[in-house]
Amino acid sequence: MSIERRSVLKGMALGGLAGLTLGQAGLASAGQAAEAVTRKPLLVLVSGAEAEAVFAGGALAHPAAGHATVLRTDHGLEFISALQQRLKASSGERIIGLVDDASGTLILDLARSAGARLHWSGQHVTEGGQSRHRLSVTPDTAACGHQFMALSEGCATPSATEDLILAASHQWVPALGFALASPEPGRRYLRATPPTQAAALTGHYVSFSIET
Amino acid sequence: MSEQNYKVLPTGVEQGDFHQAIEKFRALLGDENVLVEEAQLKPYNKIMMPSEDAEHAPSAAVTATTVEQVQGVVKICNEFKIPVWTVSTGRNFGYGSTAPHHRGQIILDLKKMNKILEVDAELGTALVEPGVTYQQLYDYIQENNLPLMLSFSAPSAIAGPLGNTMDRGVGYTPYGEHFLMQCGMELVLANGEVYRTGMGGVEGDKAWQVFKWGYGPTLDGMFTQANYGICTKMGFWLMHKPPVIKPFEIQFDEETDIAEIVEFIRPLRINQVIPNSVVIAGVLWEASTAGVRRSDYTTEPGATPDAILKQIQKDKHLGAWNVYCALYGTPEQVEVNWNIVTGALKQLGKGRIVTEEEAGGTEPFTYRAKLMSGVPNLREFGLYNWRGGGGSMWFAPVSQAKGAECDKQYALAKEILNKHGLDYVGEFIVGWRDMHHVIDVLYDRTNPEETKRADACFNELLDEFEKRGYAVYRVNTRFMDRVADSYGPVKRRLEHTLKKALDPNNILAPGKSGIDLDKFTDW
Repeated sequence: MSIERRSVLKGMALGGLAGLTLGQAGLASAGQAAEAVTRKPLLVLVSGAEAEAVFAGGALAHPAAGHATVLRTDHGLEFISALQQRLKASSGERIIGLVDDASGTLILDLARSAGARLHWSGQHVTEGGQSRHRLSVTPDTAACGHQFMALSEGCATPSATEDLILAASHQWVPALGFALASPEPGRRYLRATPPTQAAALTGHYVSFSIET
Repeated sequence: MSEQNYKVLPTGVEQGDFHQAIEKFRALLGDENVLVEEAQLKPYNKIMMPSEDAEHAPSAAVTATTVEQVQGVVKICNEFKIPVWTVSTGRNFGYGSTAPHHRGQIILDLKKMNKILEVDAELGTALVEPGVTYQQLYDYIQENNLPLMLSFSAPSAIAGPLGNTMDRGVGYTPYGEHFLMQCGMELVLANGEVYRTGMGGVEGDKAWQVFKWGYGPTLDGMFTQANYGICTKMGFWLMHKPPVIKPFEIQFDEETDIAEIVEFIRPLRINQVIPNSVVIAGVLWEASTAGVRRSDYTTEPGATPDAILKQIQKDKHLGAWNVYCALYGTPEQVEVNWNIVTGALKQLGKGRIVTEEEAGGTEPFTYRAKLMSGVPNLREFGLYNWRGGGGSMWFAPVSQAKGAECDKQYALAKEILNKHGLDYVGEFIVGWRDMHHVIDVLYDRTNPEETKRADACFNELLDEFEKRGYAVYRVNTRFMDRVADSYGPVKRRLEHTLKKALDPNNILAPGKSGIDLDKFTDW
């Protein structure tokens, strides 16, 4: 396997959104990457600086997250319109994210109207040092869910229902970013792990994995 | 394509028959317009109700681009007895979103039927297809420099006039009662025939979008919030944009002011001094749309204490009630009406006016002003961040526009919500003589215990309001059958008699507004 390492530079233009959002949010994005497997471009959407640092940090730690761009979302019309256009125009792009409830509601519905595939959606809450997660995953990403559970500190084994509800400690965000960044859910990469030292996010979030 | 094992099937339909139907849909619509993969269907299964997602999982989703294709879909559904749940833009957040009423129904998504067929600037009329969004129409009006303005619901930009009107949604301008402004529908009936209401059936007629009634029975209303046909075109009226729009807010400091507010507003509204659908919004609604989250103030479970509500009110410069109105017309007309409003307020002796200049571009005033001026925005989605967790159900009882009635509804709703550990996040939208009392029951779907409480709360709201003679005008798919009962057995029998006559195979949206031949027994 040939290994290529590259950085995704701050302000890197990618499609119709980049000029708008990167410019507006002044968002830094950086990634490191692999490799020989043919990959679809990866767009990482986050709400706020904290999620950007922790979730995107987890995603970009994945060896296969190479061609990643990180964008900070909001639920304003300008951003949502730009995302809508991008969803309709792009093909073969993976979009993962951890965003606030308002943005998440909009993004998931835009994915539907654009005809995109939704492999994963999750509702997450961290409060009082514990976290709760409600996950809805396709069979294709079930392994991704297992990876998330395995990497999240103190994650309880869920009951086997279609809507997974599970509990974990407050340290779950890097694991989620790492798990969702994989283009081949469940594939193991030697020595690759999400960052273990990360700030604990509190509050409510929505996660997703979309394929255009 | 070889036969596959479909994970979700319509009730009573076997794998083999369903596969045959899917193949026929593919032949009719093309492969790309027939979705059966789980990852393609998952976006249609996103709900905000206290149900399991699986209860609302579709078996397939199909998209049509022409009326003929819609007719073809109906024909196939009849042949295989497949129930079909139709959506236009599918933005019915908090009322069921895009998900079908019950598991196994296929979705007919009309998002690709998105042509603006006609806009007549002189008459102020439009004719559109189901997938047209308000943003699309707004852009069209701007690009063509037309002297018109839109009225829309809060998800404005991404929602559409046809779907909103067919579900009898409301907006915030003088044209805010959308069904009142509807003029002419085209519908595909369950037998595949295409029916046009009003003047639409007359060969060569040009009055379809200007004269509602036509000849003989006028049936438009029968097709709204109903499952008797699939609307493929709808006409409606647009307001001519006036030279002056003057939005303003009146803040009232105490929650007990609601009765006086309504008594103050009613004559101004009925007499068209204030012509728009006025909003009287509670403090948490306003705080949420201004970006406040509950966790900014407390992490304690349960209802947010009144002391915190007062603190938010103070911190964010809000009223306990925030009344949003606008005046429209020439400078002279607006000046006259402004003097009447300010004079009446002086007489009331309470309430603080905030003008657009005084608001200075702050939220929530700015998005409210946009809604009253016909400018799309998405600000109101901030409601979902108040508590977080993805649970939202609109509880929307109607009342007379009388102070005592609104006071009673507000007190009752808050008591029940707080009892279940939830908050009153509500507003009154003032029609001419009615109030749409709209409450967002927000809860955390990651918390099974809270989800159960929200469900119990919604049931209790329905029960207790009904005991006092109130009912909701619209509800999410989980509670449609329950709400239909509020309106009495005669109405239900009549609705099912019509259903039996128009759609004997029960294929069009069974369950919508409680109309479902497979479940109804009270003949």
